[in-house]
Amino acid sequence: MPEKLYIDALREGLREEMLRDENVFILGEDVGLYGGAFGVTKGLFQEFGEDRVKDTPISEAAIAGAAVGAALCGMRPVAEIMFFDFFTIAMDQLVNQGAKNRYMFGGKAKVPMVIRGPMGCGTGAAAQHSQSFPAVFAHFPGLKVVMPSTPYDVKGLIKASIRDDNPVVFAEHKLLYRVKGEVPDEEYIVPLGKADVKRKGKDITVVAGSIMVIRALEAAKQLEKEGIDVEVVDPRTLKPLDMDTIINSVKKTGRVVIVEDDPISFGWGAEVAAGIASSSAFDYLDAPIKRLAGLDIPIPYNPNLEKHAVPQVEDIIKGIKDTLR
Amino acid sequence: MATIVTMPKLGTTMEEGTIIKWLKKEGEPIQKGEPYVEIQTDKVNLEDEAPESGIMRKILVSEGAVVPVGKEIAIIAGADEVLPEIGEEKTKEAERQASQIKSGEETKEQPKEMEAFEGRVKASPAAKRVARENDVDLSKVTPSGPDGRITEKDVMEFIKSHKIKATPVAMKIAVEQGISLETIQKAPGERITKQDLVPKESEKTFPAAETQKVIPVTGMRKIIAERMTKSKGTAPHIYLTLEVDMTKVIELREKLLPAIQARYSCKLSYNDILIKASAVAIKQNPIVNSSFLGDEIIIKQDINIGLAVALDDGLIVPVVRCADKKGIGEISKETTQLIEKARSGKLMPDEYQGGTFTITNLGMYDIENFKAIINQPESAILAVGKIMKKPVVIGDQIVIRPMMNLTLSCDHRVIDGAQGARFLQTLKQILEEPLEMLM
Amino acid sequence: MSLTRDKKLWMYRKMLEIRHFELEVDRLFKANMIWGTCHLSVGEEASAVGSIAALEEKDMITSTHRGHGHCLAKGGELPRMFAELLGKETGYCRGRGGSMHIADLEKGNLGANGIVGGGIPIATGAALASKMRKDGKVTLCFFGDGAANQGCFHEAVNLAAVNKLPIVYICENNLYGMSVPFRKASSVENIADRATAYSIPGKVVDGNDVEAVYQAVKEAVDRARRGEGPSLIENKTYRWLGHSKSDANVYRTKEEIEEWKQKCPIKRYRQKLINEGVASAEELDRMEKEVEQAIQDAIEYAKNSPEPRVEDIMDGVYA
Repeated sequence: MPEKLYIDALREGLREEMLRDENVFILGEDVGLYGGAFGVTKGLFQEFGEDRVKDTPISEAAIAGAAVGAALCGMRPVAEIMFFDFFTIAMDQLVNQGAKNRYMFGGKAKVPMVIRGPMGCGTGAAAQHSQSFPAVFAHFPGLKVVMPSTPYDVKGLIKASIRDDNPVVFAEHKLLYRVKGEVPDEEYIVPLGKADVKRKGKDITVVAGSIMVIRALEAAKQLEKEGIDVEVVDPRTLKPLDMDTIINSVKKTGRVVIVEDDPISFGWGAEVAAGIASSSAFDYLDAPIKRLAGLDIPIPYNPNLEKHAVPQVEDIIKGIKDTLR
Repeated sequence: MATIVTMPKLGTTMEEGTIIKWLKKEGEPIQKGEPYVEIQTDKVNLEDEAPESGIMRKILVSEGAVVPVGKEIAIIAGADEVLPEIGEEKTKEAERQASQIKSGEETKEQPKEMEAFEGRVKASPAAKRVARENDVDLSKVTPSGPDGRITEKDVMEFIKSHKIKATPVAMKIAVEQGISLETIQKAPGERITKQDLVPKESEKTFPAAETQKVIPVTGMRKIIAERMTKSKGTAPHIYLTLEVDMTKVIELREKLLPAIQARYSCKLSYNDILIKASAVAIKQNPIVNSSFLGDEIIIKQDINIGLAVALDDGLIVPVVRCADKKGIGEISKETTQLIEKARSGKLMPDEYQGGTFTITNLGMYDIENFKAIINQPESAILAVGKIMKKPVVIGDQIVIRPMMNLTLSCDHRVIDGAQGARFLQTLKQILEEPLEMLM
Repeated sequence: MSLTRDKKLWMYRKMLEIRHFELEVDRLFKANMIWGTCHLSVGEEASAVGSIAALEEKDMITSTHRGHGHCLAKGGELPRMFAELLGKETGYCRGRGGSMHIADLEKGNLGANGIVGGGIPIATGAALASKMRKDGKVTLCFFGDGAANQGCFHEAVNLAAVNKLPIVYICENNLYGMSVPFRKASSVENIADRATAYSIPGKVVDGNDVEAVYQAVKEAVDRARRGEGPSLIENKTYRWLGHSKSDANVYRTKEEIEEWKQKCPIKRYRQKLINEGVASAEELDRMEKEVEQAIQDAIEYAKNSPEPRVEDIMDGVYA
């Protein structure tokens, strides 16, 4: 199978859907000729023209709102928000409008839109360009939330998100763009709401999302040498959340570490932990559920501080060992 | 250091034990692992092995006494060691330590004291589940997890080691005589000792003749007395009787007898057939398989049929688990073994606990008809009488048929007359057409 | 652009419908039959009706929290409107939306909105879709003078202007953002003056003159349909009642309200229709009787409609 970069796989997914359905179009800041701030839409402007790869003013509320309106009228917009941090500027349109239209209109409207953007720290972009908070959106009924960790998943999930009839928040960790992985040439879809066991193991379950999947797999690789067999489960979508796969894994291993990129307080890991503790997996727990997540601080600029703000491979190794004690 | 030996908990239901015999006298040296006392629990007689080596310095309880679990019974210590005071002083010491902790001193000992204060065993949910499933007393399991937490692995190891735990002498004898240690039954946590493998000397002695025999109400007798009184006192019993034509059961037994003998090396009894038939009838009348818990009635999933076995000095009810899922041959083999173990006092707790319905048969004593007391927490018991040839009217003919009386005692809080009657009727139909059991 | 007799009578009838609808809602609210709150548009009927009269059936609108009039003018049916306000299963939103969220997608009504200015980007997106699909539809975006000070107003109008989207922004300036007078909240004399900032046409209209509104909006709609981009129209009007059902109206004088009542859009239009010989007073009275009857029938329908079932509470969160 050919190996591709995450960013290229994502672009392939966008391109295939634009070819498949003429209602699909991209809008956002600098998505046209420039190809997007991170290069996700590179080349699409040339291929599909300015109508379908639409540069917008620096107006996040208008971008999100226009996506909602267009989606209400049968289009399938994919709105790019340059940094995930700027989702907050588009909050009303996303949360009060797009998320609620269907329900408050009595189940009549459809809002098939995707709003995507790069999140996460590790690039020295500091507090306003480094946040990860997909869990915020998972709190709002009506939204779906996706956070792919691999090139394979990002392509399959962007396609599923575009085809979904609901507003989908698509969170890409910016450090993942340069991660390589196998992506088949033939068409495929990764359904929303289906977790993936990224590595099978019997001693302990690590539930990790987005960039943390990569770090958890690296931790698992290192621990293998010490005879510790780690299972890594990637929820892939926060909403809908596939608790069954997580529960089954925990029932098998009896121990679980949850690793998030978001700040720890009220993060999605808390939801997963509560889901485990209140499920049939409870009687299989052999150690307290452990959470590793970002500190409750704005992301600092200094590279060493920045590194310590979110879990790294060594933190995950330590967390696993603590839980296996 | 002096070791205060307390009454061990030798079964999950054990609350007190009777000191049958002190195997060590005061002043005698004693080795760790050596049996020093014989204790009767509610079900079995067991020897307790010394937790430490030393001299049996003080026996605190005389033979025949009934002692609650956890109460001091003896002190093992060095020959010249000053013995600790038992009772009040110890409590004071604990209080003194507790007050120190409260005032913030000696904080190092806090976790240990807190555990004692809380009186709870710290175990993971998984460990608790495995313990529950295997009837393991978690307080006996050694924790390996952080902060003294018992993990699933600890319980698994406990179960494993408990199965084949034996003193070195016992292991040697077992190897020499080709005895499989797994066939020796001990209470949870107990090691197999030499005494388990060779007949006990003490059993060969004869008691002195007396004009009037005084039997202390202890152990099994006491349990029977308490349970039967409690059952009659709390459960309003109703009794339902009917007569069953056993012609076809007799035919069936005769047909199956040689095959089961050949395959399972046991003799198929009417009780075996009754167990199977009752299990099938219960499946159709699940209310019979229940427990009354005050606010709720629990209908049990598993159909575990107990069979009352008379002993010289009491009775015990070994249980055939999931009888509805077992074949008659299998049941027969199991009851044969259970009865043998029951009579030799070798039943394991999980072989006499967890019953959901009981059958008691006094047919062999020529009893035609009787009413049994419910074996709580079950809700019904079936009393079986003798099979007797009787003239009965079939069609308009008087014919001679082998008839048997069945009397069901039901706890009316759970089972109404009609529900009990339906169960009995189902059972009668099955016994009169035993091939129905195959359906 | 001349108006046909039918169109004129339709406009008069729609204004009557809105007026009687709103007054009935006021009455039902006071009778404790309506839950929540309502924002009534009594006095502003000409703005809704004149604007929507300039649309074709396929065209779309987005509405505001004061949206009953827009919905009725865009073809909303009285029984389903009342049913929604009474929270009934037969309402436009199956009783899930209430007054502030009535949408009628089949008639091109993309919904009222509980957020001030919330509909402006959505209308812009709808116009973007029309432009991309070349479906010839125009979107009317209603909002109030208060919404014109929301950031998204600027973002959306600019986006539409840059892309020449087929949309007409209609500011219904009723002189108060809840209690705060327009002149204390906006630096401009007219919201329409802001059109200059986006290089689009802006026009101030007497919002109580239904034909004037019609003419101005028609011109803007035609322009949009020709692909020449958005316009901004400001209908100067006045709400007779409080902002919402919890408004004691302390920020306005009785005299001011009375003065505006003299400019009643319906009374004015009735006189005009009679003067021009379009209809006789008797004909118009008969029409009013019919409207009143239709409203009573609609209320009956709503009252007799079933409540939504709690079992269905999760319906419609996701498609």
